[in-house]
Amino acid sequence: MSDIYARQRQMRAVRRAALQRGYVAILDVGSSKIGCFVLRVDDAEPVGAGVGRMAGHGRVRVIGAAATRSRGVRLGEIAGMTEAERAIRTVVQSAQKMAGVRVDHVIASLSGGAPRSYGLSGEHVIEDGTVEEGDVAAVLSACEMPPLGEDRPVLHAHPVNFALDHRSGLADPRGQVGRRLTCDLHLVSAEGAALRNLASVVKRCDLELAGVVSAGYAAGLAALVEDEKELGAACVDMGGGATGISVFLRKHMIHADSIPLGGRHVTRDISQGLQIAEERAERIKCLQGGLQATGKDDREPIALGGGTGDWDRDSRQATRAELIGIVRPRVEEILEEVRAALDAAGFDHLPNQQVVLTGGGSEIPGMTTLAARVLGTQVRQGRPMRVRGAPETLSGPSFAALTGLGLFAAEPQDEWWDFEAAATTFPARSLRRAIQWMRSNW
Amino acid sequence: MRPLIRRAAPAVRRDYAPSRLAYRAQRLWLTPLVRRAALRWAPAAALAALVGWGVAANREAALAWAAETRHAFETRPEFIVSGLTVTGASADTASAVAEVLGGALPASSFHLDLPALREAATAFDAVADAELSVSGGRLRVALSERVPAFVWRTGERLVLIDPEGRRVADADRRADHPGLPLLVGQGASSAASSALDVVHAAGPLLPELRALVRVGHRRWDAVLSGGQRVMLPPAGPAAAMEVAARLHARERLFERAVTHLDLRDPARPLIRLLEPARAQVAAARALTLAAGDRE
Repeated sequence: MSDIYARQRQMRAVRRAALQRGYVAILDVGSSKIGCFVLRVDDAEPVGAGVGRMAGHGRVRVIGAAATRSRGVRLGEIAGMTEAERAIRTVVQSAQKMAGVRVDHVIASLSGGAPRSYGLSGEHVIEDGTVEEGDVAAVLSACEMPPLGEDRPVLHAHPVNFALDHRSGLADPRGQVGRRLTCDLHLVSAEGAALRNLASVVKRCDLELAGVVSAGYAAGLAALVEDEKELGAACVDMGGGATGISVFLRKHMIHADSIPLGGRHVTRDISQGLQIAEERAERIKCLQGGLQATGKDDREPIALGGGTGDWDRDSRQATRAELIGIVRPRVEEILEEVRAALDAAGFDHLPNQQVVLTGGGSEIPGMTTLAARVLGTQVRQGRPMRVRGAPETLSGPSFAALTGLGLFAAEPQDEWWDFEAAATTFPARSLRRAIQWMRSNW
Repeated sequence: MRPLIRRAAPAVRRDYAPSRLAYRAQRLWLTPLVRRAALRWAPAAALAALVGWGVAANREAALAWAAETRHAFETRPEFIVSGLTVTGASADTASAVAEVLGGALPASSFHLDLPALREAATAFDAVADAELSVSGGRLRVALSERVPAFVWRTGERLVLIDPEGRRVADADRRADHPGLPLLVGQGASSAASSALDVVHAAGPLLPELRALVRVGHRRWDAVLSGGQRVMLPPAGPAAAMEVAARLHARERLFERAVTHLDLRDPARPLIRLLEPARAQVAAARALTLAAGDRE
């Protein structure tokens, strides 16, 4: 426990240092593409007529942006260290070049790593009647730790809800008077090996890791609008190698999950079904892919372009209906998995059951219709909110996680380790005791 | 249709990635301190140095400082060569070489002129070659000595020479070098290599061989222990010596009353006999002639 605390606090310190310097890089290590933004962080938010507080988003500005085809990443985890390092070098270098500054600190996303989500609750009796920061830390520390399993460090630990005596739904209990403080904590753990590989590849690029964010969470931050976050919504980030799910309620993430299925599987199905190269399959999927077959699709041949070198005879064709016949079952499978994951998380019990699809996979035509049929709720496609300075080419649904990382960097959610440790360390406790003794005796 | 003119396809670099060096260089260049140093301080410093160089006093001071620094560095105790080791030669030669080379030491290894020292070492007649090296503060000299092949008597002197005819050392007495054949005569040293061939060709005659005498700067006489001479031709003396050795092995030629074996014309070997033998031969020949007449 304490070493997680120490490690996360250390990353937080690095992040603070980066924000103080004013520049931080964010890195989305996905299975199909790797993107990098260089953010400039200003202290002052822009003010003007009709501009309200933008939840801190106005403080960051993208001054460098780059994306490249991913390599060395499979199912959201680093599979080839050297290849991944080369890809990260590429994006970091071109983003730095565009920005004209050097960045040393990077906030990275983890899309694989089999995240597991836990809801914890803790209870703490307040001694002097008023809730102080130490009490918040104490109640967070009082949460009973579930067995996370072997080598599964904690990725996120968000305090979701505080309750003081009988009043629940408090966002910030500090300064309030009460006796019994309880809290709900949402904790996400991930595989240690995936995290360490990510840290290692970042280190090999001479960068320092200032935070790791679950990609699903980042996508949710970017793609959900405030109302959806408040009322309850699920964000499904359909990436290349993994599909991330994050459920939000009252502006907090309350569940996170990841399914190791993604657009790459669709591409592979097309490649196998039509007997063509994977790159060609990817192109056909992006240009002609669809999910709803119509009568017209039977009459619309797609040149497969062979690629065997036998130009004269290898001029095969397939109809669009055939293509849809390949794509649809796999997408349905992914959506079924999402459905199962949401059911397991108790998504049915939320007051609002909005599902927002984002990520590259959500751009297949007809996706919202199909998803509504499988998931049985209101479904919309979510485009990430614009961060100032982000280029148009890097702000589509595919880049939701990248944008979300930018928003995370601008205003990170308070986590468990952000509160001062409640007298858990020996010197602090003894010092406090000494002060108490002095107060009572002098 | 396939194009007939081959044009270079535009270079597409798939999955391009900067090398680690390029990546680091770019990051270094984007570092504000490095950038400022390269763009402002370095030009300013260069300009200041250029202006300062124009003043004679500064220039001299700088040069003097450079020379002094250089000297101080070169004469550090780590670079001083003080010891001398001579290997690969007899004690006399080694001590002679050491005496000459030792005069240059101790010195900094930057100041040691190894080619010149090598010249000095090879100036000795007994030294064929010398390899000099400096390691561990010692000058190591690996000598290879000339090996004497002949004793050469010229006038009153006895000189040891090697197969190429170069002097190795003086000899006091012939008896000190019983294993070496003796060469006699003017110009014998310059033909030493052919003398060596002759000696090798002597074979069974070798125990009898006393000396090779150079005759008229052009050919050899081999003198045997009984005072007999084998007169060898100017061309192919070794082959002729082999002939002589064969004759001796077959006929015991030099145990007979022969004073000279003349092989100067390979096609017509001659022998010169002692006086009584010659008379015997003449008598025998007369007898044979008379018998022939009678028939």
